[in-house]
Amino acid sequence: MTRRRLFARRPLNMQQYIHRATVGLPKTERLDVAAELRTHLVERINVLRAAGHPTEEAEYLAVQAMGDPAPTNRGLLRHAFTHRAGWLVLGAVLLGGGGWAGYGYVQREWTPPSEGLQFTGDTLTLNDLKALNTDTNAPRGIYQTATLTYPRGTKTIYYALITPHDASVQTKDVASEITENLSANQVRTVPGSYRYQERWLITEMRSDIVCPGTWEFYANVKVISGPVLPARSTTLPGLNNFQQCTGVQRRYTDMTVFQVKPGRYIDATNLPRETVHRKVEVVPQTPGSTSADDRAHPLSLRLNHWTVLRDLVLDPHTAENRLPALKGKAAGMYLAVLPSDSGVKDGNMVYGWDQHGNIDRLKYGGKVLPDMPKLDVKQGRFVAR
Amino acid sequence: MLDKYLVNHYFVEHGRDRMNPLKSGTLDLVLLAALQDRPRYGLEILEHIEARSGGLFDMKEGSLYPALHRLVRAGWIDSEWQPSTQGGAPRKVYHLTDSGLSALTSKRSEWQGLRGAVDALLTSRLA
Repeated sequence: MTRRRLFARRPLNMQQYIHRATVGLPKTERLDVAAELRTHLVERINVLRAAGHPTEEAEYLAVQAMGDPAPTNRGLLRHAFTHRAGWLVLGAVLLGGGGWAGYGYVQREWTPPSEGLQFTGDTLTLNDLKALNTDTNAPRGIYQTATLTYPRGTKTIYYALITPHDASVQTKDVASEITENLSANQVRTVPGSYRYQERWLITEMRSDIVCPGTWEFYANVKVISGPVLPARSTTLPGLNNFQQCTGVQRRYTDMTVFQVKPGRYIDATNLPRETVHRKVEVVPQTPGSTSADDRAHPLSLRLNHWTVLRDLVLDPHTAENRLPALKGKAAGMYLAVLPSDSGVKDGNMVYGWDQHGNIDRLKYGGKVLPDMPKLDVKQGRFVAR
Repeated sequence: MLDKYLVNHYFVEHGRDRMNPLKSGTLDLVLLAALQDRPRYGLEILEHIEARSGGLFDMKEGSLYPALHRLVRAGWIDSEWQPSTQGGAPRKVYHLTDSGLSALTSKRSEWQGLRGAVDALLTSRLA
């Protein structure tokens, strides 16, 4: 069955046929082919006129004998894009694809990620699960998660582990890590949008690896995009031997209970407690942990300032710690970070001594760091000196 | 069995890339053969083919020119504009090149091989 056109196609005249058969060809080739086709058609018309056809009929019959100009045009062009719509569609596809790729490149390379802290509750991403699966010592349990996007210009990160009676500091040399992980050329081409990021997974469950000693309080901090934070301090008692433990493990005995000053070592039997004036800071009720709006807008993470990750509190009551001193309103272990724009000059060493040989202030490369936040167990608040 | 053998034999002998005997391959052979004895222009080629084939080839006249241009690009034929002997517009005349002559010989051999194979097939079927 032959389908009939709804609208009959108007017959082409000689000029229209030649135009359609040669459209799209380079000018020289188009003129050459047009002259050849015109010679052919004129000769055919002359033959038909000699046979008695009027000129108009003769032209119609000659053009009809040539057939559809589209396949002739395709054969001469050697491709199928003989219709303007084809070129338009191809152009639109290329423009769309190029635009999308360019947009993705700009988004990836030049649009900075939002700086700050983003708590993501106990939701594990696919990358989180991969990281946990590849770590045979990773404990099973519920993890609290957060993504930390450090401010531009961060060269060193200080991590503080804060409990009601203790605080210790560790560092990460971000500048060196970038230099070691990226080639010199990549470092030069690191875009202005570069921000150092970490993904934190924290659980209170005990790791498979148990370090020697009296470890009573366990928590694991896994930083996916950086090294695992070890329980190490070259200046704090009981922590100067680096242990190959997974995560952070802190020991609580009488000998390692500290006073308010960060890093200060105080023997509870020999040194009296120091009375200090404190500026009270109220601990918010786990801000940002439940509100979708808070999750969409990361909390601030300022350069050269301590930021307490309050939502990642680890409650020792549910851990293995049974020390009465840690019970109370503010009991728990907190983590704080301080992104610094100063580079590491003296290795992994926090130093500065008082007259007793104890650490007095946190210094790094001669620069005094801001005091760490202090968690007051009685007030149930963070306090700053 | 025989027809499968013949088809396979043809592919092995002549190569699958050259095996399109019923379309462009045939048209190329026909056009090359039309220019074998002397140069001709487009309309003259059509008239020659129609006369020699007894009107068997029913091709649209417009499809002749892409085929001729393809043979020019292959280097098998060449063209030049010549003044009309009848006083009309100049005509573009095509003539065989040396490689075109070789191609014609090769294609003719292919065609004869194919025709023989098909003849053998038809004979065996009839028997």
